[in-house]
Amino acid sequence: MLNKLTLRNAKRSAKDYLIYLVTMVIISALMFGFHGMIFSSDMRALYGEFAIFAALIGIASFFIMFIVIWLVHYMVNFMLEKRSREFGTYLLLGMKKIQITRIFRRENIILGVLSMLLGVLPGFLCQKIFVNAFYAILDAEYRISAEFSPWGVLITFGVLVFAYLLALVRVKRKFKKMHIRDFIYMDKQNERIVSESKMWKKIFVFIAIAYIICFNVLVFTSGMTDRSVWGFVGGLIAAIYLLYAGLSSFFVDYIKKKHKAIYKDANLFVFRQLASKIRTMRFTMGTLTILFTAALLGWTVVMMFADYQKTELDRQVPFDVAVFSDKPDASFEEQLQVLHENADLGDFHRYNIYENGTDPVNQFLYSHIDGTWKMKSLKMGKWEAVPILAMILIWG
Amino acid sequence: MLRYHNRINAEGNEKKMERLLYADKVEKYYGAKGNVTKALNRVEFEIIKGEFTGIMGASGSGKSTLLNVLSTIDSVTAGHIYFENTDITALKEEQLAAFRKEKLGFVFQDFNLLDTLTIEENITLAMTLRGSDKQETGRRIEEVMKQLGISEIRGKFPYEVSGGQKQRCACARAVVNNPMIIMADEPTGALDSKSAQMLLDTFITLNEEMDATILMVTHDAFSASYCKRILFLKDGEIFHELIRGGKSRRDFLNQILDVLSLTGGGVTNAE
Repeated sequence: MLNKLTLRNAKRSAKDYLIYLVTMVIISALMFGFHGMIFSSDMRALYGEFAIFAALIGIASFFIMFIVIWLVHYMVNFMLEKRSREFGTYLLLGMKKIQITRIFRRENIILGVLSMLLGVLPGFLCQKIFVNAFYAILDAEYRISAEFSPWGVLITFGVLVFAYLLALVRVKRKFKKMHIRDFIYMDKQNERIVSESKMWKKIFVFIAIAYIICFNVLVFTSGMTDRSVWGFVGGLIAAIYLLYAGLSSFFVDYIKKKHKAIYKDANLFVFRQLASKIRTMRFTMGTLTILFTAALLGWTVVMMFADYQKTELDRQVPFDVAVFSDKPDASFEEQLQVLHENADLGDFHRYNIYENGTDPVNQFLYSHIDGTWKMKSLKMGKWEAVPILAMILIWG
Repeated sequence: MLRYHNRINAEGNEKKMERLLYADKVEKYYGAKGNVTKALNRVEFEIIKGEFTGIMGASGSGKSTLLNVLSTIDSVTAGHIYFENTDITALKEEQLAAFRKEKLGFVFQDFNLLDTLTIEENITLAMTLRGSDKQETGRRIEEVMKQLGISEIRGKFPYEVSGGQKQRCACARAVVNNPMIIMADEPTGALDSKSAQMLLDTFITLNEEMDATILMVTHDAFSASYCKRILFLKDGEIFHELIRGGKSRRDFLNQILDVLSLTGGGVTNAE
């Protein structure tokens, strides 16, 4: 009977808390995506050249893990509060707390496994999209492969299990401390009428907005130093939390002052709803805003660097192929013929660099263009400079 | 402690009756220093086996608090509660769980049925938790459902049946284990008048035919008139007691209304 109860409860929870199930599926998919990337051979090819990507993905996975732990903890506690009366009924029927904990734990395991399984396929797609995005940023050619990483699945599974274990251990402790009365009357805690009486908190909204504007001005005018930037970022985080801490009071104050706007359409309802929802969820909303801001900033920086790289490449190496020769009168006919046969040539310029026995052009090439210095001398068997006496630059 | 004593029964005859519950100067305070609410103030009374007792009082008089401490949902601040000869205020959590399972049955205003189980399963769970075997469970459930007229809706989920049917299911769940006492907290509160009357008739059946002891908290005089005895609470204290004796239900109802007109609205003490 208890197994039947557990299964049906899990089924009901999946329906009643669909928003959390969907969130968990998305989070699982993202984790699969990131963890899959760590072990992907396509990405390993990139890591060889750009080791920083491996570190970046590792950091992203680490942050996602914290989000998962927080989300699972929040979700499990939310369900516990919402269903506290039901647990009180179980206790009244004579169930022991340990039995109720077991039922609740099993229900959550079912939901966790379900969200993980549902996240596998979207996670696989996420991985392909992310890898594609990285290749696109680096202007590298990528062919979608059906490579599937069991290690990525295992790590995701491990993180989810850890998050659920942590949350359920806390729930077990909470259960232990609670009495039957706490369960029965827990769902009535929101029946208490609590109005946002601290109207002075609305000042936080103005402070936060002023700070965010200043922060943006400093960003666009490059007014931050390497050292001060961390202080400013800390201030931005505080400002975001302050904004949400003050918004509820701001709306309540606006309603109480009976401004014209509140009598228009359903504005009164909207403002009241906003005030109450923000008051209940200010910390969650603040945290989510910070995460979104971080993601947006991160992505902007990546795009900025990619764009910078392209611009610099076009500026410094505005050609596709460079062929060098140590003969001052080289015609490059042979090379041009090969290129004509194998590719569409747009244009080319031939330079005769050797002029008067000096080497300033060679020095420039050695120090500015990769590949000119590191030419391997067949005789010497080591990297050394090879005198370039003529070169041809070709555009495709 | 006296286990047997004299009490005038419903027919007006004095006879020896067995005491089931004894509340000994029970006190319950809420709040912390500086803002203490005295919900129960030295409440003392007893309940005899087979009695159908009502607790009445205005909102905030302490009647639900009293039911909560008697049913072990809440603990007392001072005093003792004896069930037969056991002081339940001294029991530990595990013992309380066993006590609730073995001795008590509950009926609430909002039914408290488990919505993922069918009507029959809700009743079955109460028995399986007690460790009853399959055959015994099946037989007993059949019997109780028949008595309470819910056999036809046995396969339905609580959200598929009416409020009255839900409450009869809650009654069936409460009596299926033959508890020592059924505690009902405003059981007619969420029902229409017809369903309420049916439920009260069910209580009479349980009390008279199945010899169940019932303790019902209500603020409704009509519901209270079905009881054999009523304790009136005001400001956390028992200030009056009515015994139906040989009176008709109509006369008893008038008597209850007279007492209620004296009490008006009650408020809790704040110290």
